[in-house]
Amino acid sequence: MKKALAVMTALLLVFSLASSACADALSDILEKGELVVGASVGFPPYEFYYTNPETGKEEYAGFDMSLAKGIAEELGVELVISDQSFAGLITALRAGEIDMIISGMAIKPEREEVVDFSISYYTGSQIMLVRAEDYDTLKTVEDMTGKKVGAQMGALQAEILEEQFSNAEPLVIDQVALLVLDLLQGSLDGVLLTDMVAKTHIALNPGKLAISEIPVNYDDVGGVAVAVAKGDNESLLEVVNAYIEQVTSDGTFDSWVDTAVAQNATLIDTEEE
Amino acid sequence: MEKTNTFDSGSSQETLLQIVGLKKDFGKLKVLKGIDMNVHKGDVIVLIGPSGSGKSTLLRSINLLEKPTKGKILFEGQDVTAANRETLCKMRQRIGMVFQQFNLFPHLRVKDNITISPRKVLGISAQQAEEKAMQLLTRVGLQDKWNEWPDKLSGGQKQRVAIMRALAMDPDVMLFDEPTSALDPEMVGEVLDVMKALARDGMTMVVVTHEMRFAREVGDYVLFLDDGQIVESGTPSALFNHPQEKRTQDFLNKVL
Amino acid sequence: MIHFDKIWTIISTKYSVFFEGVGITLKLAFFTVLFGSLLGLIVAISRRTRILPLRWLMNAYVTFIRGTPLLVQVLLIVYGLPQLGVRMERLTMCVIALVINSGAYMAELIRAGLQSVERGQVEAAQSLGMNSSQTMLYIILPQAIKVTLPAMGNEFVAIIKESSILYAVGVYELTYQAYKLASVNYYYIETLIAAAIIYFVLTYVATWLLTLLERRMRRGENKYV
Repeated sequence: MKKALAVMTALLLVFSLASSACADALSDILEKGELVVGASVGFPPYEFYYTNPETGKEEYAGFDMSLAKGIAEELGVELVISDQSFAGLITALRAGEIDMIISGMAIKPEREEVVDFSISYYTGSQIMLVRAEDYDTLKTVEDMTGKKVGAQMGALQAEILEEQFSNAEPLVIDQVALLVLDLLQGSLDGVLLTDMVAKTHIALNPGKLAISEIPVNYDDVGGVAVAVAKGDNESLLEVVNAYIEQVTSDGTFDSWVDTAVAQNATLIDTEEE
Repeated sequence: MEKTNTFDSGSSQETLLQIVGLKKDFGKLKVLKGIDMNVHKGDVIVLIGPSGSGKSTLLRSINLLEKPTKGKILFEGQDVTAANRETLCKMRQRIGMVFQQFNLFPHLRVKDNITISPRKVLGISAQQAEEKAMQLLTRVGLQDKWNEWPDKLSGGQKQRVAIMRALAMDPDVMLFDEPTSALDPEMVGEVLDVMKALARDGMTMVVVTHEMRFAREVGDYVLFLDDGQIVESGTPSALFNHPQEKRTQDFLNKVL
Repeated sequence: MIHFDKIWTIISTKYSVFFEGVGITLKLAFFTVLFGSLLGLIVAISRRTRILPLRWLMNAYVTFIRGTPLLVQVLLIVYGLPQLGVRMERLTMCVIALVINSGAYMAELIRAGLQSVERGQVEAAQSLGMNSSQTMLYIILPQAIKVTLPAMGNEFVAIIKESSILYAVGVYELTYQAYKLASVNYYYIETLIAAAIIYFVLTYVATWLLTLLERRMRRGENKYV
């Protein structure tokens, strides 16, 4: 009921605005009939490529992607995923290439200056991933002094690395998968990740990786949210917020997370075969 | 009927070079069809003949710039064709060669062109090599070109430097492959003068040339080659004044 | 929309960051050309050897490197060597990757240089009793290198540009610095334009210096090149 109400108000808003010949973000999307979502696919379980075993086709998977699909359905438009590097997403959004970012993007004050965020749909915690054999020796921030620590370029973790682990030797690159490979090969001693992502990689490399006890603080006050361009976006945010509220409260979102983790696990299994 | 004209000056001096049954094919083309000749110490032998007669190939076979298809070349009693690489280098040190295109080393100054081989190959000290180079250059009046780059020299000067470069190795025999063919006419004289002086000093020389005047004035013996064979040989006066073979006569009629 | 006014602001306020990137980029180009030309030299000479397996190996190396993208080679070295138990600084591994890449191209350049030396030069050297290594060292190589030098200069300029792909493995060269700046200032295009301007100045100045050097070498009386 809540959902229907939200859409109704939104549509009303759209039509009233459209009639006054002043298109807003939402009516733009409705008019072109598609929702272009920017994401840096390759960040399981948030978003990743998944080969559907039934159809043999490659699909976008992960709870971010489920959320994107849900929003597109809610709006009654087609979903288009624009896979980009994480660091370039905000620029693409501001350039109007994409309508929104759903890519595990945490709400941060600097980001809020240039984009607007929806309410948070997920709050991940940040952790330091280490090799299992180092779990007992790397326990504090001080233990990481002079160690090599990696983080994803443009991500929250890159800032945490700079601020809290300034005594470590940083490696900041685009690909989380490469960071984890670096860790496994010994080129890195730790990788800053969100717990979800870390768990996926631990599952991918059984017995080799561990979430360390090193405390990682971050001012992730708002958690992860959908980002939209600044400007006339009230009606769009309203729909998105309403939808997020609905799926996070009725258990839908949790089921997406479960599905994502499960799909990622089957991915690991099929790769091992 | 196959010609097997052989040549030997009959000089009483020791034999430096013995060429025995030398044949050279380039693919199907038979360039040398069996050459037998001996070169004694002090001989100045001039090879003449139409282009394509094989005279340059014969000369270039002597220091193995061309690998013979068949036959033997003995230099100071040692078989050049059977020598390993090290021995071949040793032999080449004793056989000087002057090329039609001079082949000076463009990246080296005149003095270094002359001294590089004595220094690097013979291991002579720089000072000694330079003293000798200066002597040689002075002999041909090029001492002021000591520090010059080859491309600043005239053709005649280049060829004189090239001759001195070969002489700096103290060779036992000098091979000249058309040394004046690439020169402007006014420069031919200065190079021929150097060669004449060299012959007068008793250097053993084998010269391929189109300069009949040189052949007549300087050569002890002239060999006429045609079609990969020695057609006729003899002293300059005999060969130029009384050629026996028709092919020799025809050739001389054309060039004289 | 591009905020052109921002470009200068980015350069002028963050010049120390760019400066660090420029330093690494130039260092990469310098060491790559230095060791790359040495490797190229060895490969080019090895390709003339009578030892056939060695020649085949060198030919295969050149063909493989020229037939695969630099980024793939970099990833193979940076993530392949540790797999084989080789531990090294990332920057060192990247220099190795660039050297291996550049060596193949240099080998081709040097080969062309060697071939440009006239046959008569070799014959003259042989007639003076030089063996093949003396001929190579004193006669062919100096001439070949002189012919190759301008192309090596171009390679230096090329590597200034090509080394930008190392940002992908976290080497703090110019592109990385720009990329990192862009990821926090959100002026992505403007920051990249700033980087492009700096790259252009670098390559322009490098090309200009190389032209001067080349002209000076030519003036060195001897114009046979």
